[in-house]
Amino acid sequence: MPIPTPAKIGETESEGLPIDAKTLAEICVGDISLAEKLLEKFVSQIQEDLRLIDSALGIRDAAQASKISHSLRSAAAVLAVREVQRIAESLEHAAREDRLDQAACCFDQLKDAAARCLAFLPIVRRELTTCADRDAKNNKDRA
Amino acid sequence: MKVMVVDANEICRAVMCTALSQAGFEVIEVGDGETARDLLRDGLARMVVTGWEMSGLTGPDLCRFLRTADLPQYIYVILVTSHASPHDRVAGLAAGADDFVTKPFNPAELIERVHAGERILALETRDVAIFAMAKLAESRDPETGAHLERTQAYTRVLAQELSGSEKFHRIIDSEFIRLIYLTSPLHDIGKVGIPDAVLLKPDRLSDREFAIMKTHARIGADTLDAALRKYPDAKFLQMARDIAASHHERWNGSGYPAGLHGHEIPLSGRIMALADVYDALTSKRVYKAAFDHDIATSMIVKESGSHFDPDVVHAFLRRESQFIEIRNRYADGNAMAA
Repeated sequence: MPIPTPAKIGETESEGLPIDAKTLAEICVGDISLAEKLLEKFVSQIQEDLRLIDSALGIRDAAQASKISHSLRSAAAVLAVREVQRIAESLEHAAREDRLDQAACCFDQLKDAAARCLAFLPIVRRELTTCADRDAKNNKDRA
Repeated sequence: MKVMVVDANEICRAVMCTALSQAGFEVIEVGDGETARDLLRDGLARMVVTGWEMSGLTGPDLCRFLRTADLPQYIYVILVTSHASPHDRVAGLAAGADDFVTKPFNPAELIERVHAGERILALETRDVAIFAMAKLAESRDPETGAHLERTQAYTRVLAQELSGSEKFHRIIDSEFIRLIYLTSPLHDIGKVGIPDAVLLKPDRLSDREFAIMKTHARIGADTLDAALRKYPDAKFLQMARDIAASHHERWNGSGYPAGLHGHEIPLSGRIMALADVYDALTSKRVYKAAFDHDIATSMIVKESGSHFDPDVVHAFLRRESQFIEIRNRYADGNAMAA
């Protein structure tokens, strides 16, 4: 799958990609090993946060659900994982306003978006490697 | 330059720290607001990039602390947030943030905003120059010791207290507090124009000599007015001028040089008047011993509504303990250690 070139960081959602490798590489200032490390952390966080949100909604703890959603939104925003960011934001607002039925709907969407992210990881890793190889080649050509 | 990055989220911290490290900044990574507050209180960094949401002390809470604490230098704060609404921005700025970066952010933008902050901080050298100028004026009056440091601290405490009251909270904002702290050392700048025979006279001044001494308020105001004409938008010059011109005015109109009454006297001058007198009363002079705090307080209270603005006296009474603490911290002969 070709990776589109975004006009700006974070403007990749319209392309339908759960995670954009090129943007991620830019965010990490070209440090591919950092990008891979952050992906690992993001995967851990998203799984843990889904678990925490699920249990918060289970006991109708809107404040906790809102807080965890905010944290996930924040991490997703930094890594330009826009779909997760957008849904986590909706969940955060719904929970903050104590609209727990809507928060539960958002949570279902969030689980789907997270699953799409996780399934997309091998492609992102491959693209990150391609980015790294291309950078190395450019550096070699310049030298 | 050292930049402190504060965020509860490890991913956010890692991205910001990497970008700033690669740009050549020395980065201090902190995961919560409380630790950041303690390290900043110790003067560990002058530039802070902080997230908004943190359990405990939030980014805006940290800003509020930095703007009200008695810190030796200005700390520049950039809030990095996914709170991007105008309402949130207003809340962040009101808390004392200097700049915003919205997530997702471009690392290059973050770096440039930190560079912009560096330029702002460099302006603080202006503040140092102002203090040096005031010290030069004070050097002609060697009895006064750490008078400038103490009165600077007293004025800030009074302004902070007044800012919390219904009557003054719209007038005294964080900028007013910063400016009064910055410019109060210039209150006696006009003394450079007083002849040595009067300024340094160890005995009581004659009426004629006292009349000459009193001209220092006008001389100081005229000097700063000349600078104001060249830089009319410089708020610090305006406040410095008001303080120099009016810190010997009295609430009942019996002061000098203009005999202004009540609210005709600029608020900064009314605050300075109390700070200056309290320091004079509690400091030793050739012609008198230092009064203790309680005596000085009773003298000031007695003059409430005649010499001093009653609101400023009330503020003083609510912050007495801080006055005592400042007096001890900047006791003459102890100024360098403070």
